[in-house]
Amino acid sequence: MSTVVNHNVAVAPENVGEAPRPPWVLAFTVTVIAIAFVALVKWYQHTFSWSVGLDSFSDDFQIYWMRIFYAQIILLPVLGTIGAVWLWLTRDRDIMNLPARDELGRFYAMFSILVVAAVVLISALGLLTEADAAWHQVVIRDTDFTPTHIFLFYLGVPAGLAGLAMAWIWVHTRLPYFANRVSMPLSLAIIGFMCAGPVVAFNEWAHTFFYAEELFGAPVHWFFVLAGFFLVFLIGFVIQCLQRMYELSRVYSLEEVEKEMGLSR
Amino acid sequence: MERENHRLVRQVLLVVLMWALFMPVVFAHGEIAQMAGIRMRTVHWFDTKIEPTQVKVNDIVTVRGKFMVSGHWPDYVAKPEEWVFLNIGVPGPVFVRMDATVNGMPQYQSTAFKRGEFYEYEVKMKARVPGEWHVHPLINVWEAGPISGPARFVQITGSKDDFVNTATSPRLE
Amino acid sequence: MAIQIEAGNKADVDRTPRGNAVISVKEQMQAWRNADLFFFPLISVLIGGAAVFLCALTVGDWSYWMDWRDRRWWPLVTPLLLLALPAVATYAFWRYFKLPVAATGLALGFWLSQIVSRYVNFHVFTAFPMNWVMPEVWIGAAVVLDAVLLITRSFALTGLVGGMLFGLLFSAMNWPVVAPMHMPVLLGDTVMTLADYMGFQYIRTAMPEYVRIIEAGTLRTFGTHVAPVSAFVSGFFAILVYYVFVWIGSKGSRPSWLGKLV
Repeated sequence: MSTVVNHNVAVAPENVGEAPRPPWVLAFTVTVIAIAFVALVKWYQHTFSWSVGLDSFSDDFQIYWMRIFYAQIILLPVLGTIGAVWLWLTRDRDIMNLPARDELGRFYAMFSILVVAAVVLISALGLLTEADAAWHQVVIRDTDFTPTHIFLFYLGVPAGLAGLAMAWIWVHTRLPYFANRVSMPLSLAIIGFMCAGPVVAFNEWAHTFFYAEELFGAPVHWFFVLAGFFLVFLIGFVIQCLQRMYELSRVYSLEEVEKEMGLSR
Repeated sequence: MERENHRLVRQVLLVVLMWALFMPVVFAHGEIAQMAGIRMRTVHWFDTKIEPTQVKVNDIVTVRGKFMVSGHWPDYVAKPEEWVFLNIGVPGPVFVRMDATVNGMPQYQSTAFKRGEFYEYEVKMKARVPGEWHVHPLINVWEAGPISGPARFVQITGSKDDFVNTATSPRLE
Repeated sequence: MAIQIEAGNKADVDRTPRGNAVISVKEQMQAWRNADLFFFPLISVLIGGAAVFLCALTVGDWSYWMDWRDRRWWPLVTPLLLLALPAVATYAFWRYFKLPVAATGLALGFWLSQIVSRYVNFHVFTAFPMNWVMPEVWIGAAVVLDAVLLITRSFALTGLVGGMLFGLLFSAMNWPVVAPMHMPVLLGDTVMTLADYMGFQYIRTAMPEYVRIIEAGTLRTFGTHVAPVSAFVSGFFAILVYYVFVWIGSKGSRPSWLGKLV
């Protein structure tokens, strides 16, 4: 499609303030912090996996690994629930009257968050998954809570679920385009990710009872693929956002602009 | 206070005693997590020798010993007549395996062990990554997973950069 | 950026923007440029991440270890799985933006993520030599796929020609990485490839030799031509994979709504 530009527009009035801009600096800072956090996780994994992570029966394993596991598995759902409830209770009751400029700004903010989430996602899916492969193919598995699982499953899944739940509520209460209805692609992406919980449980059960080999492409792992595959629905969600941003960022006519801005010639 | 001190001394003594008892054979790969049936009724290891235990990078460490494949292999564990692989339990490729024999014959690929038979094995490894590593002989049985033997700690000193591993292709000879 | 608006959505009538977000052509262009800046890297990274995950859990073992890269299974299954998510993203990029760049973008993100991961996880974390755990490169095959779409402007023809080429070119494009590993080496009196030899040498405690899924079959019938034959078969299947996943892409990228939750 070709670019649509309405040329029936004069020079902009000067006293309406700046158009909303994406929070580039903030997004960049948060991305750097997120990468630093992933690096911290990897540093911890590299440092303590070989020294105290080989024997789940040792006291050191209980201190260095199981404490992290318990902290994650308790803190992340609690924080996620608090965040989700807070986002719901502080929702905008008059969301349909949100000025268009604020709405565009909110879309920019949301895209910045998505970029950070995407960076974390590719780190978790790429780095932590392959760390899991590398670890389990060279050592004897003796627990469900191995040093790589503690970060991949018990940090990645609860953190992802908490983040996605909060994102769902934020999107449907802060953006007029999404209010009073449900975005199917976003919901399906979240439902797919929620399947990761039962899939982790099934995986551990399989490894405990009947699956002794560490073949990574084994059929017991294919359910993870299905859960991960639902991420493609995020494309549909992004298309929804872009449709509205297109709507918001079109200049229709100068008269309409001036009327809306309360200006007169 | 005095009572607590006594308790502390007792605990320290107990730990030292346990350490002394278990020092020669160490458990550090979580092999105690294996099912009793797998530990007791599958492969019986004996005369295991892992030496030397202090080496430099590029030195050879030999793992040798004997094992008996139990005639009373549990029904619920996959059978060793299908696929087995004589392996070494180490934390990653800190050693490079140069040669492996079972009953004096080369054992580079997967094989089968018969129940009720007795085997003698020897594996030669070249030290690669400095550190203190836990080494044990191990048999991977298809669908049953790793069955590990007794272990020793082996200390490797030197620098990883000095490690050399060469191979010559018959085509280039 | 320009996006096609789905007209006639009744629920959208009440949702006309309250006022104008931009008041000049300059601001409008700036807003569109911002959306462009977000969209392309975002989708590449998101779907690239999903692709890394998908491939790790299906054909990961062929990708991690050189001694898994045989002439039969690796050229057959790896391209099929690699093609899935680029096909999904291709639909979104082409249908909404007429941009034939999705496969290339994904391949770049995928390769970057893989090379970092192999270095960090397999070389630094578990101390394998880097040439033993090198990831596959399929940027070239992705460029070909996008180029075919650009030339033919049709999903049907891209599947037929591009899908076939993708399967066909994959193992050939990876040959420089794999070829040195196929040199013969003697261990005792056994002839091994260098890959087999390194698989024996570099100890993988929980990954014994018998787990390898390689070259099951007699192979003697086809001699040295077995890799091209596998690549051809992969190409045929890739055509089907491309069509199926473009269809999934059409479902996944549809901006659909649910009017009522309960």
